[in-house]
Amino acid sequence: MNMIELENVSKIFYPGKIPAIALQDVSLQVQAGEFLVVAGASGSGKSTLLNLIGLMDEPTIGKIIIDSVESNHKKEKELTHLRRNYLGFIFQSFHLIPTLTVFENVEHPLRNIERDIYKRRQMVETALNDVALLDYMQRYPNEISGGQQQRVSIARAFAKNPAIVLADEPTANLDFANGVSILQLMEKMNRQKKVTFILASHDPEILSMSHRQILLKDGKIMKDTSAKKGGDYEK
Amino acid sequence: MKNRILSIACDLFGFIKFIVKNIWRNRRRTIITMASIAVGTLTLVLLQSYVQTMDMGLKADAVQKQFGHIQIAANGYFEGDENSGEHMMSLDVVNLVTEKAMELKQVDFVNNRVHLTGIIGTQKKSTIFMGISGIPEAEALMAPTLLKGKLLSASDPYGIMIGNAMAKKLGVDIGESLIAFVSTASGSQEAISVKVRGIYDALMPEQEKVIIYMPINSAWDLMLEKSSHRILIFLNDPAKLDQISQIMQDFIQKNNLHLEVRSWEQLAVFIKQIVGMFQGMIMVVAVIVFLVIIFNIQNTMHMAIHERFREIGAMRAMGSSRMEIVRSFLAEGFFMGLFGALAGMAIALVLMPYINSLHLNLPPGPGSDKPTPIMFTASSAIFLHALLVNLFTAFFASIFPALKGSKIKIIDALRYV
Repeated sequence: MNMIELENVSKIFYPGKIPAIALQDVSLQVQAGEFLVVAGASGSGKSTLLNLIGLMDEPTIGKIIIDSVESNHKKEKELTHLRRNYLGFIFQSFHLIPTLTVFENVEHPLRNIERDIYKRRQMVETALNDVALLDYMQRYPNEISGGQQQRVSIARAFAKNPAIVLADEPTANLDFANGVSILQLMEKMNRQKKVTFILASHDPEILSMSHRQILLKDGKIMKDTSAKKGGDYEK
Repeated sequence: MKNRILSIACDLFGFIKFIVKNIWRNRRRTIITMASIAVGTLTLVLLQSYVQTMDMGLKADAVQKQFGHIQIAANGYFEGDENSGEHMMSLDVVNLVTEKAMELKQVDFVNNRVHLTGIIGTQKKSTIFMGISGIPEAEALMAPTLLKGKLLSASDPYGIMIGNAMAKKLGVDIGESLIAFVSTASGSQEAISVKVRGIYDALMPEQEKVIIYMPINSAWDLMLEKSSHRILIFLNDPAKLDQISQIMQDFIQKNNLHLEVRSWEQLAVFIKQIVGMFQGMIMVVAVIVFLVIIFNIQNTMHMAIHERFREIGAMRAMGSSRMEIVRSFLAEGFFMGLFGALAGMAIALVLMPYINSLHLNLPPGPGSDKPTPIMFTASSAIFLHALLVNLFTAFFASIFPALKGSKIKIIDALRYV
């Protein structure tokens, strides 16, 4: 079953007089539970692709379908609903709220999803337990390490049991050991929870772990390992 | 159900905690903003308390010393020349109305007054006067501040009270005799000999120079007739003003008397004008103060949004709606307004009794030679008004930045460095 479908998607920015083509005629299907890595050099369109799948931006041309729901021309309210219920995000620089504790950071996005305080607490504790941070839940982000902050970010993304988790360069701000640990954690979450995982990265460790890789260059898919298995996609 | 209520309570508590923590992120900036709100609140409370003191003083003075709570006079008296010989009530009518008023338990006492003008003086000096004559016991209750001597008394029918300025002008003191001349309604000149029984002190020197208080019997002796211009009714419960006015109105109609009833509020129009003028001045000051507060809060909120740009983007990406962002920043503005206003009110509560205890004065007002005391009367209505105005201002000032914050494009916010 396709969890994500992109049909001839292009994204053109107009930063000045000359338009910048970030993505060009990209078509892609991602199966439910797949661990997909989007690779490519800086400026290749990785983040743009993730932003479009994450419904944070709209394609200039083409269609994006999430779990059979077409996202084009949706109202902001409907997009918010889709992001809230289908998508989890892991950011390169974590984006934890500094005034909230670890527990509160994980709980914050759940306020609109689970109204029952006891069930919500349970969800937060389960997520923190999964990332081995239950003992740190009363600490503030500035009281834990970068690796731990990214674990909190992962717990936050997974706490609501999303269908899709998007991670944009999740290990870029971490040292090697922490990076490996985070990757193993993400791989474990993908395996255990059957969540569709899309990562933008050029980290070789990540590439080696993925079920499938796509390589972007100048906004075009240059290589898709699943398609390669099919025989003719590599250009 | 219990679980749901608990969840709502926990969410509300969590939201307030989140807002308060956000407010305290940049403490120095928040303290400066809240200080400006506190100063605004303090200014509003002090100005309003001062005007309220003045309003209460003027009203009490107007009722006690000038008008009573209710006045009754012949038809046309209030619209005509108040001190002319026309529109007078006969003694029978005055007694009938007075008796009816005194039957009512809400009535404290009743006076009736005659106004007359003439010349008063010694053998060497004289001056014009405006005489206010009433029942001595009632006039004693209505009298201005006595500087020397005694108040009017029924046992001294020719003992009068003159102003300090008149006493100086005529060169007389307590116990000295004066001659008062008046023209009667029939056109004849009448004179009587009176004695200075008391010397009073008034706010306005003009009042001291011309107004004398005399027992009504001496006025009747001068006018050669027993009649009155007005009946003054004093209530022991001012809240019953309308009710008693109506009772007296009904009584007048039932007895077919050609009289009119007026409340002190209808007669003391000048108080409304004076207080209105001061309230207008307060309004101007309040608008300036609150414009400063609005700019200050807007600046603070814009800075907060600028600092939390990426955070807003992340929250939006994770499913926070625009409305949640708006609500969050509006709540920050609201709480800053609340804390600032509470601080301003607390300062006002401490400052007002302290300033009152210093007995400070303003320079004399127009037409007065007495300094105006600076006194504040605190009231819950003034504090509530100041609180609400501040909360509204803070909330209003936050709307534009909050809307701006909510419209941030997520990808721009996440890319923001």
